[in-house]
Amino acid sequence: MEYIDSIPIYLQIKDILYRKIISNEYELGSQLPSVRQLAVQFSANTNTVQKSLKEMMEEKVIIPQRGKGNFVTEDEQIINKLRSHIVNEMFDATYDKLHSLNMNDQEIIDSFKNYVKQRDEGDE
Amino acid sequence: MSNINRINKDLFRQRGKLVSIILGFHILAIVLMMLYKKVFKVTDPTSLTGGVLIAIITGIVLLVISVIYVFDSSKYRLIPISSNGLYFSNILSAFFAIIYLLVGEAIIYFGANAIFPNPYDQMMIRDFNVNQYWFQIKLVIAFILGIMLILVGSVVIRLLVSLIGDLLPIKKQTFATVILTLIVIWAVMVPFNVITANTLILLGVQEVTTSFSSIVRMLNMSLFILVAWNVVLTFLNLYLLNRWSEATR
Amino acid sequence: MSKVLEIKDLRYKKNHKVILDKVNLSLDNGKIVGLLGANGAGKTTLMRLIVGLNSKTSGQITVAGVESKEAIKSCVSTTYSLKSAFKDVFANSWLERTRIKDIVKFYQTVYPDFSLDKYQEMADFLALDSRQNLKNLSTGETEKLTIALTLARQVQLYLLDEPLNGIDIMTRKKIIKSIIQWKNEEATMIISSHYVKEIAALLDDVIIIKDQTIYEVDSVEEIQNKYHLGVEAYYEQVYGGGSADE
Repeated sequence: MEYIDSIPIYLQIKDILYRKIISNEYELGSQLPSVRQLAVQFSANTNTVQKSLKEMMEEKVIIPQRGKGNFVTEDEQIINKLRSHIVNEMFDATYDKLHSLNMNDQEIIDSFKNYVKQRDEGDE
Repeated sequence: MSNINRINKDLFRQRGKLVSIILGFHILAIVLMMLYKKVFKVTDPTSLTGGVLIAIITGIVLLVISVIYVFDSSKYRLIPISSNGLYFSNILSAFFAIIYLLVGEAIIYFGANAIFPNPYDQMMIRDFNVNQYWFQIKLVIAFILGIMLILVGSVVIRLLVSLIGDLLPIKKQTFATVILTLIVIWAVMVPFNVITANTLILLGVQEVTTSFSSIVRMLNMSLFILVAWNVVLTFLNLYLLNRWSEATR
Repeated sequence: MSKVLEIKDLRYKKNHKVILDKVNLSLDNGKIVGLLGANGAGKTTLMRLIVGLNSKTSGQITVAGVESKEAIKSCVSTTYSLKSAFKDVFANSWLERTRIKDIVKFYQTVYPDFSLDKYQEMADFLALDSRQNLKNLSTGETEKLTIALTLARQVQLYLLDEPLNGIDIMTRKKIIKSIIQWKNEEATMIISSHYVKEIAALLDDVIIIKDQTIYEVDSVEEIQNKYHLGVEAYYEQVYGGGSADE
């Protein structure tokens, strides 16, 4: 597992887990691995993983069940909100960069459409 | 099982193994020698005393190394046991190893003599059988105490060398350590000799004659002095071990 | 709850040279702490002082509320060089035959807190063969064995001195994983290592040793939040941009 040195690791782990949830690798209502299993998987301290999970609980994305472990929420609204949040975050940087190239919104949308089209053709 | 028993178990096994190997080699050497004599028809009698002497000296040297090693080794110094506990466990197991070595050698010696008799050793055995049981027992005890003094004394030297080495403003190098060891041995021997000699004089041993009663008196005094030195040096060791000594490997 | 480790005004002198001075440290339960410092800064010495392999010149060391050397030894499990400590009288001769299982047996004999089950789990994970001879083990295998033996003791404080030194990347990763897997929740662990970057994710706090003393103790998260720096970058900054005698 490679981390970015200067960002707290619990945030990076939370981010990875969120991506796994919105990509449905961890399905709605499914059980997450135990803290120790996650720690081993991420090669990180159990306290750090615990902290990631705590924030995820506070954000209602996972729900702890006493004596059973942590489960992904079944509330699709929360997941959708999470998805749009992460997508927005990814767009933020790109949008700012494109803007700095003096492109207006329409040009940005057009070039993105073009990019997706090219990419799809490239894949086939 | 208490912690002291745990380490005892390990050290007794270690030293039992050490002595068994020496005894094994000695028996093997005797058998090979006898076979050699049979095959090449050598009829000259061969004394077994030399072999016994070599085995005992080898045993003492290896036990000294082994006893000192325990205090140097992290393996032993990390065991949850007090320094005093480690010390007595170490010395006690060495003591039993010596008894085992001596009894083993005695059995080998008398056994080999019974199977392959030779005039030299038969004479030796006859000379020792002088019906002075007390004298003989005391002689054996003095011998064992002497070996113990060598062990305890070696530990004193080792601990003093490392203490002084640590206090000197130079890092430990092999050459410096050897020189230091020689100096410490000399420095320890001087008071040892002076005190021993003066004690003997105080106990009234001016007139040494060859009469049996005079030899017995000598032996009694030696026993006393050996016990005294063993006790004194043990206390010195315990102090050094508790206050100063560090594991070096 | 009492602290797992408390050091007050520790001082250590050797050969007329002050190695460590005015060392004060206090550690809570359940932490993994990195011990960082240049070569010769005194990391190993500090660990050896805690467990009593070196004799402190002055000061106070308390582990889990106990102060006697003997009691401390039953609360602390530390790594040390197995190859040099397990040399017996027949060192280097053909009579010296210390197999891994002999060492395991020694641990079982002398440490009442040694868990054979836990050792076996780790040995399986790290692929250690108990019939192998200690003197034939590679650096990586020796280190794996050391870690498995050290963690198989059930104690409150673990000291791992350079557990990743001279070991290939795959083995390093395996060792890190086994540390996470087998360190019990309540115990605290101090790890010294030059591979700061690789163990950064493992650590709650870092202790930096500089100028014969503990220069500072920080939480990894704080370093990242406050200075927006990785542990390694921060450590180099403390040492003046790596110009220290590394």
